[in-house]
Amino acid sequence: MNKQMSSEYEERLQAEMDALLKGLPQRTAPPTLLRRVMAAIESRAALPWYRQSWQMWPAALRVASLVILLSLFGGLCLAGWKLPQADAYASTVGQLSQWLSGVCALWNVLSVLFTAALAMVKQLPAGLIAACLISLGLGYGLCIGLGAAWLRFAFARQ
Amino acid sequence: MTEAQPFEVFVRDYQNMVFSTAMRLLADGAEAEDIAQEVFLKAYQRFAELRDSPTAGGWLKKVATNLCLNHLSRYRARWSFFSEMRAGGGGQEEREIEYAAPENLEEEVARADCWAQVEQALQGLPAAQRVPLVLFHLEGLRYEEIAGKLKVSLGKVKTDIFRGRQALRRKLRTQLAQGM
Repeated sequence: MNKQMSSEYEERLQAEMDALLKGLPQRTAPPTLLRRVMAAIESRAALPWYRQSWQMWPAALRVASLVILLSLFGGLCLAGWKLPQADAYASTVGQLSQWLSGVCALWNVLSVLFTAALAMVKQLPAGLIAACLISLGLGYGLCIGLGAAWLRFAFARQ
Repeated sequence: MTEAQPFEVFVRDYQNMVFSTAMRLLADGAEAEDIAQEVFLKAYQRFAELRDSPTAGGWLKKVATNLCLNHLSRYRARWSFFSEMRAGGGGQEEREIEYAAPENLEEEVARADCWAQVEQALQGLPAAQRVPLVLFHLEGLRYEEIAGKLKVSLGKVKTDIFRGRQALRRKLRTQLAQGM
């Protein structure tokens, strides 16, 4: 009985709100809206073509850019397919690996430092690590809490 | 700039509709104006298609709705923790269900000619209730579509809409009682 009443009530409420909200007249847009839109259009039109959105480029440039992009994409696909078969490929890869050897050395140093730091942390008592983590969490929570309190206070004053 | 004149007429024709849509979803005049401007700038890029299209109004409304929802999720979700308190957070009083038969509120509102109060009451609802309520009643979306757009469960959409209707009705009853 109660469920039936609830369902009837919901249906009537829905119908009532539907009629009410659909009957709402349109709001009047602020008079500044039209001016703002037209000013934005004018300022965009004053920009050089390459700073406007692609849809606003002249048709010839749009076609040309599309052709260039498709050619680039096709070229990349072709290069990815043909390059490993080229004679110069192996020597270029060798050169590249020489250039990257410096980066590898840096990576090795960093990984040694990280391993050392990890070993040092492992030596610390578990309680101290837990206390540090809890302190970090509390500090983070405190920042969020203070931020929330400040915002609520600031908005409440408006 | 040969398009500017007819486009100005186009903006004049649709500006109230676009602004109303944005205003009812965002409940903030400045943000609604920004969104309306963005909608018309998008429309300008497709003006050649839209100028004589009978579906231009629907297109504008859809773009306005999507931009408002993007705006709400992008700029407001991160602040919901802070802002729900301001909006009243859909307080305790909205949880109870009234079983009293609703009288014809629409006729009462029309008779008292107080549509501004309805707008005001709608804007006073928390976003979690107002947005699905507007999408359901004014944009004609189904519950499932609203749940998809807002990325929440179907149950939450139904509950929020129900609470929104109750809260709106309660606010209007109070306002009408005070005004007459």
